[in-house]
Amino acid sequence: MTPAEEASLIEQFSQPARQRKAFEQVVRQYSPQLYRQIRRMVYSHEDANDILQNTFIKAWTNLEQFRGESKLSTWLYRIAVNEALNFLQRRKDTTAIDEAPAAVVGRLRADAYFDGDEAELQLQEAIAGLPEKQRAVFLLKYYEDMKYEDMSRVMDTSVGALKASYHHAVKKICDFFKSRD
Amino acid sequence: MKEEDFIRKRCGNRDPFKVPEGYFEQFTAGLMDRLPEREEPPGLSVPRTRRLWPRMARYGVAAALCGAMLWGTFCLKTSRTHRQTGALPAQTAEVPAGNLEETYINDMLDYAMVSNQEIALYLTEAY
Repeated sequence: MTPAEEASLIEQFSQPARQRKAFEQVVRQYSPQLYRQIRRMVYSHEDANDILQNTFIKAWTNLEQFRGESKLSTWLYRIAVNEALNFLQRRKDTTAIDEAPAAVVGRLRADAYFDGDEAELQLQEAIAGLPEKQRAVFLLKYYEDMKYEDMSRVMDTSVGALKASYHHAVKKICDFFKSRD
Repeated sequence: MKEEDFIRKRCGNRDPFKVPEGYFEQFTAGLMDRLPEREEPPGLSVPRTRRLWPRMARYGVAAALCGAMLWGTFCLKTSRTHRQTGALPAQTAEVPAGNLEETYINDMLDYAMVSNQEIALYLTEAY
């Protein structure tokens, strides 16, 4: 979406008669990339679907809080990542255990909507072993190639801390692969 | 970064997660159907018009009660004075007997600032 298109959409948000139509465009535009980020964090399609819905409902009900200070995509990523992190925290609180990386691999092998090869399965296993926030940082950088400045707004963390977090994540994943070789 | 290159060479960065056919089209349609109506932001909403008449009626009743109390006090004082002097006060002596009560009521209403129209409305519509 070009900056001009985004500005036009934001302008329409302030017009009650047009905001619903404008928001539909936003959902159409951003749901694939937000879904991918959420899915990589929670693995299951059903959970990702629920979190994506919550993300857009939250964005819709808090539309007046978006003042165009950051990009629309950054604001939506921020909501989506927070929703996914909250979901993972709630799951940890209710089941009292973190899903083991090996269990994630077992689940992905049985998932009809995962078509990764063995190397990609191993990568998912290594990613599943990262702490949740570090996992979110790694996924945003590795798959989305998000700039650290944008990521800083999404994660509400300093650029320096994000760089360190990504560096640690990469090192842990490399160590995981080396231990398997 | 050397280590990042190692991961990229080994695994690539292709997204291995797929979605059911037509998922995003259905998602958008379903979500838009479920979106709640937005509440108007504070400050932009038009406040509901409050009916003025019930409040006016209450003020009217209160004013009428005050007026009645003042009238009662006035009557009490007048009768005492009458008993003491044995004659009607000069101002009342000039008023024809049939109009005496009406004059007092009008004075009382003027004092309470309640118009005839307000009393009529109160009697017909307020309760």
